[in-house]
Amino acid sequence: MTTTDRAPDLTRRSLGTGRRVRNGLATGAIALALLLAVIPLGLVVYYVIAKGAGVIDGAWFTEDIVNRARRAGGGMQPAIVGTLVVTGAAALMAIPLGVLGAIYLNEYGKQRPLARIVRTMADVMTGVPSIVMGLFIYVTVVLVTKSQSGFAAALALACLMLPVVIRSAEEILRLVPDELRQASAALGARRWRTTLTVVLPAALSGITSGSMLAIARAAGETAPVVVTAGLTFSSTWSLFKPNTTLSMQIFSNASQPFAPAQDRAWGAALTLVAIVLTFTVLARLISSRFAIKER
Amino acid sequence: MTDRPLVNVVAPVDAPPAGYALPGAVDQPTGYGSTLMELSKVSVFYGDYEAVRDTSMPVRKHQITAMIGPSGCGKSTILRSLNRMNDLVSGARVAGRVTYHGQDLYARDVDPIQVRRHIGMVFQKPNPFPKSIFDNVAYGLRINKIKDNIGDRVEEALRGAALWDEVKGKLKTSGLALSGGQQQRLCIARTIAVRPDVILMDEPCSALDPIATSKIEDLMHELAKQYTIVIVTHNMQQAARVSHYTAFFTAEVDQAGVRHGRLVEFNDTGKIFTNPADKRTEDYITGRFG
Amino acid sequence: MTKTLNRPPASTPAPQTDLTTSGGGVWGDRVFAAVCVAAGALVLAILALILVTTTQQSWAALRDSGLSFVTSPRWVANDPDGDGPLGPRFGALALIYGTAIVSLIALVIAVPISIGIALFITELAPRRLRGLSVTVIDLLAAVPSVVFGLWGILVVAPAIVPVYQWIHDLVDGIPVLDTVFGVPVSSGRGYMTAGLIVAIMIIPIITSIAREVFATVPEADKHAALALGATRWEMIRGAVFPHSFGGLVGAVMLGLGRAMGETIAVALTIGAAIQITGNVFQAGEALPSIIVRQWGESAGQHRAALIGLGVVLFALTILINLLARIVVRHAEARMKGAAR
Repeated sequence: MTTTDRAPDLTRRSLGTGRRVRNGLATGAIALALLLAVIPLGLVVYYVIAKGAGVIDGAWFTEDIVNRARRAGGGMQPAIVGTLVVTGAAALMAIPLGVLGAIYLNEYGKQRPLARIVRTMADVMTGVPSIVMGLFIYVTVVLVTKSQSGFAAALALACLMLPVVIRSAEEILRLVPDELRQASAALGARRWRTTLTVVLPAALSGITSGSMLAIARAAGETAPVVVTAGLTFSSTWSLFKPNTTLSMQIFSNASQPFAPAQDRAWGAALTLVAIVLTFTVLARLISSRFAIKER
Repeated sequence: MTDRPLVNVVAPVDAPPAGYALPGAVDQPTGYGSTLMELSKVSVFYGDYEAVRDTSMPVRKHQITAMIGPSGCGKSTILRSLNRMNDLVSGARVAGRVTYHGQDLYARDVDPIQVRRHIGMVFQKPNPFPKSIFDNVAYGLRINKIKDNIGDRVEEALRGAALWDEVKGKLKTSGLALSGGQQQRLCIARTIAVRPDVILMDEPCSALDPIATSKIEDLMHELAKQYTIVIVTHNMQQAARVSHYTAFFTAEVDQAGVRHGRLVEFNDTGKIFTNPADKRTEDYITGRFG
Repeated sequence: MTKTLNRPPASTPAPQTDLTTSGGGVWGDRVFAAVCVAAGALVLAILALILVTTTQQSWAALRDSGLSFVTSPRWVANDPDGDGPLGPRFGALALIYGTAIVSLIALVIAVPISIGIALFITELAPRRLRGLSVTVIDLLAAVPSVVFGLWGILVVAPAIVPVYQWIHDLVDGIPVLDTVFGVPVSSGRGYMTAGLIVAIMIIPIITSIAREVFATVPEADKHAALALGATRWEMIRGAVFPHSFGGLVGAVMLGLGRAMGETIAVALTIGAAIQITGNVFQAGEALPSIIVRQWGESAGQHRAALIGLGVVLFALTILINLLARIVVRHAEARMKGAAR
């Protein structure tokens, strides 16, 4: 007989100590993991704000960079301008191409062999180290044009953004309900018209959000810019002259032993983090506000 | 739509379900049928939504109690409240009392893990772990730190689930390699290996073919000698074939237009199917509903 | 006048509805499809071009060094005095070693933390905390690596030397351990510091893949374990882990790929010493970090050799990423098969 007429003890005490302790320890360890990620995030944000805020004043946004590691003062305008120019140009190249690529994958290629290869390779391409992308553009663009430039840096960033945009846009396009495509086709619209006038608008917010995240990531990239952009200490809006970015300024100033240079690095870091976070938060707002309703 | 009159009927809230007080079926051996679990005025909420309202019924020892009714009537929800599986749904809350051996399952110091150890569950879709047949059955023993004679206990459970003869030569193969009906019996073996008191079955045959279904039904009769069984089923014939008691649930819409599940009638299975006390039950079992 | 008229003249009576394809629309469809295919194929073209052009550009250096490019630990960029017996030498072994050690340290730290966070989000967290945790990970991913590097070199490295010293004193005299945790470098910049910083940076990617993997575990399996009276941890061990092993291996490999390619943060925190030592508290150098460090001062053969390092790095990371994707896809397919 397996059952008894006596009531079994159902209280927590009846669970073996070992099992209870093990469950408690595991739960604690799992929660601790999150804490271990929160601590460095909190510390980085704290230091960037604490050390960077003091450096930033009106001149920060208007003056050229002081070309002496020991000397304080000056501004960061060239790097701010450079970041905007380089990242903006990269976005203008990568986002349209990336969206077209995503349209290919989701609307035309689907599960065909070529599409599967492109999909896998786009995933793999997101794993290509950014420095390698910088070397690639150095070899194919800088050596050919014989000059480092903001454009070369933008190309490198565009190559980094492309697979990210393709994959995120494809995910969004997949959420667009097929009924929309069929409704448009039933009205006699051709595929390209359906895609451009029905599918894309339906996916617009998601694609925008994914692209903003890609922009945020690109704005913080350093290594590819270091090998392609050259260097300047005064502002230039031209794509075809050497340029500088906030990330480059952080990198070159951080390894200096002098306080004024280190201060500049912190200030540039605060500026960069502010730009990156703005795009990240905007991306999240857009995606949560205008998300396609999943069925 | 016109043949669903009861959707708009609002039963008097305080009326106890008809037949509640009726004694156990006459053809049962004496000593069986004492009340093991009891639901009194149980309501289950998901957030603010009251999914099932005011359910009162007993679960009798070594008997098979069936819960039937149209989909959305809350029978599965009530079943899951019997071993606190509803705890896993965030926002779910149970009001009223569910007692087991007289103790309130939702009392503060009751551990849901211990509840589930004594009140096991078999699910709608066979869900063996991606492990070997042996390890599937041994899983519950291992987590409960039962180390002695695991092999014997596994064999006993597989025999108990009428699966031993089919798998004894291949205990090391994956549980997922079995047929659907065998998988479901493996899940039953996994459940009885820890020697629970009560086995809850949530539409255990709905994913199976008729032959596999009849094997499980035969098995239920065997299991009832040792265990108390509560089964939710879509299938009225199945309830009529296997159960001693039947609870008929339905969904109704209250004055505010909100849909709730509700227990209409609890009685001997024989009475429910031959002489139901409630018009709604009669409509359902004679096929005028659902 | 054979087929030049697309439209019948206005004077003719209304023609039957023409259901054959008319030139213009089809043409539009074809052009658009072709443009899209080209955009997709661009990915393949870029990857192929990277391999071809960088290899070609670094060929001179690779050919001169031969196999010693990856087997020699000597990386001497130039010989300013001109009296060295051999002149410049480009052997990347010490750099490959540095990359390996930093990546290993980063994985050892990041993998358990990431799996813990993923479990917290998928299995443990109440709904409100879940959103918060996801936000934390998103923010961690959003901070540029150069900012982590800045924090690493100016805050972490100086502050962590006493900790390294303490650990060294603790294991002093114990064989192997007192070599691995040897005397720390005074600046605090070394393999360990770089590994710590890289660990923080790969936590988001491993966490996000691990979350996806855990999400594929069928709810039915978890319920089955719980219905047998398993505690939450027993459920995770019994139902979640067996289902997700393959996917987790993939996640770790993707993290490894990211760690190996991390350039700037490592360049700032690893200490720039080209050497092979078992002491993780010592300074070292890694493949990507030396490229940015020496780029500005390089020319000719030296620059070609730096690009050659990029080729090695590219090959390694592509290989690992490809393997990781295959492992993840394989694991997902198997899960779907199992869950039916």
